[in-house]
Amino acid sequence: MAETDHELVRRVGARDREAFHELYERYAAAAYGIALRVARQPFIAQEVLHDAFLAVWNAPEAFDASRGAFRTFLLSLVHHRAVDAVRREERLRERERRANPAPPPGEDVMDTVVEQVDLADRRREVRSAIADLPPEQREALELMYFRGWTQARIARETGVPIGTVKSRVWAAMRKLRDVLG
Amino acid sequence: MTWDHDRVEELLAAHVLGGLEGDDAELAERALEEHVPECPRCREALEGYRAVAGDLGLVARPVEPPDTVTARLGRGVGARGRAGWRRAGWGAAAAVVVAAAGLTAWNVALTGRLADAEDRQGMMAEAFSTFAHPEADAVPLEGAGGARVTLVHDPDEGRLYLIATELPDVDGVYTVWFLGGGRAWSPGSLEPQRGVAMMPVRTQLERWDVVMVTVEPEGGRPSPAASPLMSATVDAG
Repeated sequence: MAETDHELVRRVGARDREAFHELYERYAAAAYGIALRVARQPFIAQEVLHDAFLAVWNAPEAFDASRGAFRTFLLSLVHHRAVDAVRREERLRERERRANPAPPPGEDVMDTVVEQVDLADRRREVRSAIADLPPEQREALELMYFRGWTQARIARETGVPIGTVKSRVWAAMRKLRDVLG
Repeated sequence: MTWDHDRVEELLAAHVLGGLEGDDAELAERALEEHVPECPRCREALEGYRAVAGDLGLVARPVEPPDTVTARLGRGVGARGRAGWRRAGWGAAAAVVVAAAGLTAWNVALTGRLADAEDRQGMMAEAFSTFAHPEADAVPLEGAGGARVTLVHDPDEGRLYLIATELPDVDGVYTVWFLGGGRAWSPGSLEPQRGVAMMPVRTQLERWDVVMVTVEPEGGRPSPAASPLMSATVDAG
């Protein structure tokens, strides 16, 4: 029977490289997928993935099992790092990008992967929950999470009052929490 | 300060998504320090939103990361050479032979192009000297397509050469990148003649983890925007 994530993280704390490798095998594709989706550039996404997993190796105690699943912890870590990286990169490239917009990575060049059934099941549940959100809430959530936009930027770019953006994001998160929790 | 639970929850929902800035971000940090630890309702809300934020990551299509990331991580955890961590290490003499053949082809390809034959002969002499060095290492870059790219390193002199053959015509510029320590550096682009190119590289190899080639638009970029065509993990040791 496969070891739980929690057991593997505990072994990582004892500097067990094989346990770390097992965690990488389980979640690298999901983590790289979100890093690519947010960062939109393979180079940045690869740096994010590398740094996030190395952070787990260097400080596995940052994961607190009483606060949720390792998967949740890791994907949140990757997401936050991807958002930070893309905002840094955007500041550097602002002028260049206005003149020459970078396309998102082509779907056809990415390899799809076969992953664990439970991860795939959860993915379907999450996608279904998002699909059930009212369109305006879904849009606000997606711009914030997948584009890395702040509330203020969403308001600026979409012309929606910032108070409305805030309430839409909050409403979306409450619904998702209730459905997925 | 008196905290409004609804206001705190709203902030926390955006906070876990990375969507706050300015005053809102500061207020959220204060709430996390001063209020949330003492408030069961807001603490529960925070945990719920954190779980949602983690789950949202699953919506993105999973993508197998390239071997270069795996190899770098393996090195980062000190797992060099261990089973389970794939690693493209420095190659053996065969790679040097391939590189030397490429060097010859490069010389032939440039014959009649360079006005100053002395310059070319000088580069050739230095490159052959590097390849002939008994401690010379060569690492082939791995990737798609039929192109062959090899990095040759003379550890004594610190000289590096990148030799490429069978490079197809592309709509863009073959750009060489070195990655390491969270940054990317490009020594320039390969300019193939009849599919062959050679580039001396002036850098300290130990500063980098990965060498790769991408096709970038004309004009250059500060960091690679395209997926690597070919790449290898380097190890100066």
